[in-house]
Amino acid sequence: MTRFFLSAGFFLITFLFETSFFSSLPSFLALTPLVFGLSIYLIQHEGMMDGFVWMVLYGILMDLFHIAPIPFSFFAWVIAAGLSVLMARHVFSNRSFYGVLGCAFGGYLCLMLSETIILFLQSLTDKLVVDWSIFFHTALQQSLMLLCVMSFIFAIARRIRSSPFFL
Amino acid sequence: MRMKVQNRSLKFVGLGVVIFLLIIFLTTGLGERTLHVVQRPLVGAGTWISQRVFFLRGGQLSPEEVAKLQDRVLSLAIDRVKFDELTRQNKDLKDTLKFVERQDLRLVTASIIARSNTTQTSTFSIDRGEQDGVQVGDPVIVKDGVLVGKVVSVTPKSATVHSLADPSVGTAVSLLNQSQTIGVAEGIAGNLLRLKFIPQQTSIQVNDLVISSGLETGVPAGLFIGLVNDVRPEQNAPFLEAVIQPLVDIRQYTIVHVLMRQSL
Repeated sequence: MTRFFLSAGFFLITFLFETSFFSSLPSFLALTPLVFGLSIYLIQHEGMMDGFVWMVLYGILMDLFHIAPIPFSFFAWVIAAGLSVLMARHVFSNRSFYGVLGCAFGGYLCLMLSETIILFLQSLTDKLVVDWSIFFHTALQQSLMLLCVMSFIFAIARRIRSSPFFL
Repeated sequence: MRMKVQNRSLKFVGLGVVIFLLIIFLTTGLGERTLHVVQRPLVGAGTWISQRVFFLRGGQLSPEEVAKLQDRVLSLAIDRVKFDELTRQNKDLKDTLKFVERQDLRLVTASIIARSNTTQTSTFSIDRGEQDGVQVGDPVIVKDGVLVGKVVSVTPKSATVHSLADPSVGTAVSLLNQSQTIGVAEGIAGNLLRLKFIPQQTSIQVNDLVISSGLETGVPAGLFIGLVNDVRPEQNAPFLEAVIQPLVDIRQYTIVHVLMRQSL
């Protein structure tokens, strides 16, 4: 039980950093997908289901606080989390950085596809005008930030694990 | 085997309990207020960096120069309004003033506590909610009466605001040109607004000031919105459309004010 509370605490801190600190930064830095990157790292490299729960919780909270870029973002996050778990177990190696990166981009692609479908359906029903060029431009910038986040997490996590405290 | 299944079930129950508690904590008053204490400095730090890392915004000016120029633009815009309003013989102004007074408005200051991390929508949360009298549709302004957005949803302790440049937001506006064109400006990509269906014979110039028209419930007339950036003919229609650039960038602010109608 304590572990769950610790995990929830870490999630909350990460969520607050992403939605309050990073989102206030200028230009593409505001698009840093911190929660997504950490979740994928937990799912793929550490084999922890906490990452799946983090992604689902992230979707719930974004909808709850109305700061999601798309409506019903919870569904997109659940699909992306589920497919990331499947990819981590059956497609990519959890030993190498490239395996983690592959899983991250696979999961991100899935998230983007889900968001695209939701937005498309929404535009059909609500006559919502969607600027797809902006949508895909944002996705491209965010995927580059994901690459930075994954590199940073991988490097930091390896250093922490190899420190005398953990040995 | 049975023990294993039992342990697994216990794990799921534990996880469910933690998730449930977390959501309850985040959506109740105490939890929200606690979060706001953490969120305010985080938004402040991010905005502070944003104001200083000017090279990422494509400018070569120092932050002080940018701030000075922004103030200058704002001050010129205000002067222009005053000038225009004074030179018109001003029954209209008197009517407008009377209208604003009649609205019985109250101002509540709020801190931004979270923002959407995307460029396709422009949404932020503030630390004032239903309990402070904030209602859906209330206009949100920054210094000197610059309208930046509208409240789209409220919880007891917080509210979500869509900025005017959000594609889902429409704002009743008026141009300070000779014919005082009115219409509904809607958000478009790139933090801009668009005013459509302007008759072709309308005299409209780049840098014409755009203000709120007062033809919208809860939004008083005369709030600054932006400047006309471009005027072009609409495709396949005998109208003009004007692209409006907001006077301020909301990402540069951590404090906003909500204009509320006092309860009757």
